[in-house]
Amino acid sequence: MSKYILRRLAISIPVLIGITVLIFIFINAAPGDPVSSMIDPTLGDFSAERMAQARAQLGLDRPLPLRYVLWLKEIVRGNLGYSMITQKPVAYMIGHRLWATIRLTLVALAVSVVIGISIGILSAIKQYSWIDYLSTFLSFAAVSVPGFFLSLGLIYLLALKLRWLPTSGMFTLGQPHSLWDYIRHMIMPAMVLGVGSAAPLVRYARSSMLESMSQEYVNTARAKGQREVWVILKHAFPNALIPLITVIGLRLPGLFEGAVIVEQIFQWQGMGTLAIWAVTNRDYTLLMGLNLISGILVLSANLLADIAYAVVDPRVRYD
Amino acid sequence: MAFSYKIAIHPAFPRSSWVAALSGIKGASEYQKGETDDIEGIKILDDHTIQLELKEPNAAFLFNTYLPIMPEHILGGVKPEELEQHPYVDAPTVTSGPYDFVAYEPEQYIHLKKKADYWDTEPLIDEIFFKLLASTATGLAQLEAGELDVIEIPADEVERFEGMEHVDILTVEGIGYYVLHFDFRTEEQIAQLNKPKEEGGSGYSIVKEPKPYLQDKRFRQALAYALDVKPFIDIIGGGVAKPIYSSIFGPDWAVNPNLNKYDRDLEKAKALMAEVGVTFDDKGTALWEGKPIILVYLSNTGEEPRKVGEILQQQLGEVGIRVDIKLVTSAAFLPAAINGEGDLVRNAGGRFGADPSVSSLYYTCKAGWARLVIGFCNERFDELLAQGAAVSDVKERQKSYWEASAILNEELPSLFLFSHSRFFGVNKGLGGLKPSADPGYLTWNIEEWYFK
Repeated sequence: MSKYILRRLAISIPVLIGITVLIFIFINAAPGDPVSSMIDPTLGDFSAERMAQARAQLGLDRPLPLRYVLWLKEIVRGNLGYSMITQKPVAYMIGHRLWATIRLTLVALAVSVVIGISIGILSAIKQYSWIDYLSTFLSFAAVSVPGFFLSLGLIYLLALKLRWLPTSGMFTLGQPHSLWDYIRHMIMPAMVLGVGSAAPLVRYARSSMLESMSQEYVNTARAKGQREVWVILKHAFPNALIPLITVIGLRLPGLFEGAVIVEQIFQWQGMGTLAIWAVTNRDYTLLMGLNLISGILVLSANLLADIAYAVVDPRVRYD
Repeated sequence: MAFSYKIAIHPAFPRSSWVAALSGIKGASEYQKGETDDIEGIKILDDHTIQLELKEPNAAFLFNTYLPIMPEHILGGVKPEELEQHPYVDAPTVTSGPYDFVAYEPEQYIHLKKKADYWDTEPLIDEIFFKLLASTATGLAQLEAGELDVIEIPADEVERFEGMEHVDILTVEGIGYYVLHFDFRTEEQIAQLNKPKEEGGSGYSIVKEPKPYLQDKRFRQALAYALDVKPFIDIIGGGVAKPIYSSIFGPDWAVNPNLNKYDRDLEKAKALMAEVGVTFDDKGTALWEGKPIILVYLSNTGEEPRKVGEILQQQLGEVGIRVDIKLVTSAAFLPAAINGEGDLVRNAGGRFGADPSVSSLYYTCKAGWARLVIGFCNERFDELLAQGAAVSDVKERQKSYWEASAILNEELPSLFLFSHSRFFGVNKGLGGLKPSADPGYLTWNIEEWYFK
């Protein structure tokens, strides 16, 4: 097992390098650069000379491959560099935001797992009942409705009309911080992220549960006279869970992606809002840092899913 | 003060926005090049007096040097290169206003508390939070929900907020302008920009093929006659804005009353186009050398710029010109404009209304917009702007600026549309606000604000 983990970790390094090379090429190919985004064209105060000088100061006049190599050299030394716009260390800027995103993503994941698996199992047990049809309908609706639309709908309903929740932000200004206040601010973004991600889980959970309920060991359990609830919880459910673990692990990158939009709408100060800021300002170093960190997070989520798979299913061995 | 001036134009900050304004001080250029450690023209006379000596008279100098003061007792020992990483940058605990700094949470808020011993009027509000919001939409939703007290509202959202019981709308005449720059650079001008830096060029790689008719001022005037500014004002100016006829439209003494107003006249527009050599087919399509004339309208993305493009399409369509709309992200906007991706380039803002000298930043031969995008260079205009800034007598200044604005009005490097008003949504519970035309200075009378 540990051999397998080591091998997977070793493979991750070239994958990460590949990701950074591609991203480095893409963001540099996008029109505009940090200098053009720093200039406010409405103020008129720019000239060709000043723009060239600013580019040289940021090292943007050097050839692209050289800039990548210089960046990589610093990364190997554990230095993510400085933001081209704010001049602050990239590690500091990301570190400041990382936990907000991780908290939001994990809560959203919990929401999606709880909703997805419970509804999925329920509709498998009551196959072809109205519950089953309703859950099918709702999960298709949740998949089809874009996250930003759901967000705006929720803000309109829960914040502007009913006034139950704040429209955005992470806590109420001018009041002492409290956990309850934080939770109130987190409900809507976590719901949007969680519900969108729960929908496919419902479908997976349903089919996986149906499959394991038709297995012979379930019939055997029933034949032994065990109560139906016990048959489902003890025999059918754990086996249905196995394929779901991979699915859940693979949902994490999707949640990360969704967080970019959701954080922006709800003014949740995580990596998503930072990423949008970095893209619109063409902050190359910050963008590279962000992509590196999210690449690492996603790769480790996949690895964890694989390990969890082996833990849950004794038949799986990695040698 | 002297310390602040020296930091603002220190060689370590070539990107500083003060460089142009402050280089007029005697000895500033030598200091900027790193030849001297002190600026000759800055003298401290006593504890409360500083004297600045300029290379040449400049009436607009004070207006252009609204410089925040930096505390030498904290930053004096820091190397300028390391200044941006100093903790003080995120926690400016020295303030000259009625409030003390408490905390700054990046991209979240800035927290201020009333000063215990402020020398002037004691403020009425104890604590203030400046929310740092990523999008206007979020801010507007917060105003609607009563989660914040005051925010600037875009003109096209004003109507929605007027209907809200808990929101007051304050309107103030702006100092910025709303224009469409022409790109009428000639082949020679583009070639000059494309020349490598070693050969005295600017090292660009612009591929634009110039449209000869744009270079004829009669064609540009024809477009001005083809446009009716009222729909622009109604749709994107919130219904209130001051039409302008050059970039010199304030203060009142600088405004030339004799400028051509280009009132809409489609026949005149077509006649002028015909003079330039434009022909029209049976359907009224404007043709140049037998091919339909298509102009590209370039702007950064947004709801308002898109609406501007649509009004343009409709109005210029009436003289047979097709307009294509091209919207790009804000970081890509300036490169796209320089690259010649638009024929009509939207620009809105600036501080023109505060002092006529501001126009030199846009329309003199060396200015970024004029040289890199528009291709406008008029020596007489440059002379007049220099004259206008060199004297402090208002009558003298007026003469220069009136003539200068007549040149812009005649040559039309841009289609001058209007100077827009600005709108602030204020929670009804808050009073005492007197917004200034420059929205950056909304808080200028903050000590008079109060909760009803």
